[in-house]
Amino acid sequence: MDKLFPKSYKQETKPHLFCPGCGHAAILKQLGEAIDELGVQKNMALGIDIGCSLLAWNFFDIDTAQTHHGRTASVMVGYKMARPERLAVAYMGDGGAYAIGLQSLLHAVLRNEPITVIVVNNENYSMTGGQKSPTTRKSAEGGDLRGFKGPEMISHLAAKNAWVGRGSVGNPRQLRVLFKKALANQMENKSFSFLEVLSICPVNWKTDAAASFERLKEMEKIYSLGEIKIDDEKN
Amino acid sequence: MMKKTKIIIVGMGGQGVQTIAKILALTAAQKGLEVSYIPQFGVEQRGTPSVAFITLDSKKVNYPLFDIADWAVVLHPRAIAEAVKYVDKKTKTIFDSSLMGVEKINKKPVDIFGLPAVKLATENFSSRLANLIVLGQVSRILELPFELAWKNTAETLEKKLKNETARKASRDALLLGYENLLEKKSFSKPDYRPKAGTIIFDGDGKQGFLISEHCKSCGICVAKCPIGAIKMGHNTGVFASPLPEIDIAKCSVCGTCSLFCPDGAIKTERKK
Repeated sequence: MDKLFPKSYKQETKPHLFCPGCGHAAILKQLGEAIDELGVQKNMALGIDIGCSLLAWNFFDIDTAQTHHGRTASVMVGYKMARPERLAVAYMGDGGAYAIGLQSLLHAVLRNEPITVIVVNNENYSMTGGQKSPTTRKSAEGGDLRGFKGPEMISHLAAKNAWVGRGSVGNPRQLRVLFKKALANQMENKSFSFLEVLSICPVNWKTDAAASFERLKEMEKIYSLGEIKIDDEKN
Repeated sequence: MMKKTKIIIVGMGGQGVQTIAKILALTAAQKGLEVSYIPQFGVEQRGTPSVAFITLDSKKVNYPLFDIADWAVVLHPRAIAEAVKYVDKKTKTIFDSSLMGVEKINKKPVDIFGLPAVKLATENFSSRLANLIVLGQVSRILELPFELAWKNTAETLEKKLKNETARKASRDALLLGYENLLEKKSFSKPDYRPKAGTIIFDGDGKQGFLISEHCKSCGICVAKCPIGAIKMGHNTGVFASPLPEIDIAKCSVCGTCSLFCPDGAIKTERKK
């Protein structure tokens, strides 16, 4: 039998702490694969936020720091200042990045700090029981099509050599490629990289596997996937 | 007049502890009793111990928490530690005798009853219905009428029971629990073990692997398989939930299941 896990996984902590069908686990699996392919496991640090993302605290065999709510980007900026030769990755949820931590995120973008920020968007505050978050659409059934478009907003603020993109759990192969680009950009261009990942939350959406992916498809209609072009007129 | 009855139900999140407690509380309230029900579970919501505290009384319940329970219902060996704090010599204990032995719950058992719920559910229906068997049994002990319990079950689980077969199976499971007599024996060892280790599906020069310790039965592989070769089976995994089965003759070894599996629990390959 070939390997079931990426090499960067911490084997003894599996089965992991996430719920059945959690999007986080699927995202971290692709992140692990991307880390393996780039070979940066021993040369990086992962910062995790409060919320469901903190359950990744023992997920990888990688240096991991647990930060205050929404301050993951700031902490990783500080880490990067102290250790510029290492990869700094901030992993947070939509509540942490777009609500309580939006100012930290925006200043990291404006200063073009060379870190990678990964935001998992599952349209609710999952850990506390599925309360509405800034990314929750007005009608969860899809009537109102306005969503919080984080990457587009950041693409208007970011410097020319920054990298912004959006992936989805529904497309793991593309997600892995985007992870690789987001990680590589930090070292190659010494600039900010931002990746939002559309995710599922079967427990709080109260959907089974098939219905979760159907709702994810609705989200993919509203939010475009792939690399997002930096709007450099304003910069 | 009913004496004040304190009940604690423990199990793993996802087994249906809170469902049992909710239906029980509703039924008792409709029978005219005063009820308090407090759920307690970890931040993960699934896969960690889940506890329900229920107090029933004919007078008003002033304080919902308690130190020692009159009845303890233990559904999973990993959740025993949560129950032990609330158990003393007088506590009557119902436990799933198909999953665990008795010593860990109570060293000097006086009133201890085994109910092989997972075994009964797996043999007769699907292991997901084990909680309804327990609910049936507890309703009978508390002298709650069966029809009222079923009415509340059907209402609470309305969305899941749209299909007529599922509805009938649920009613049968509840009735089986209501009518099943508790086992009386020494209960030193569990008589039924969930599938452990790697399950291998073999045939046609193809192999499918399922790591039962990692599978959480989310059903993503079933939903994502492009040719419908994976189905939820009758085997029970480590999390007391049904494990998927691969129809290896049908499988085209596309790898979609292992690509989407969040737990790294499933894999298919051609034999070299």
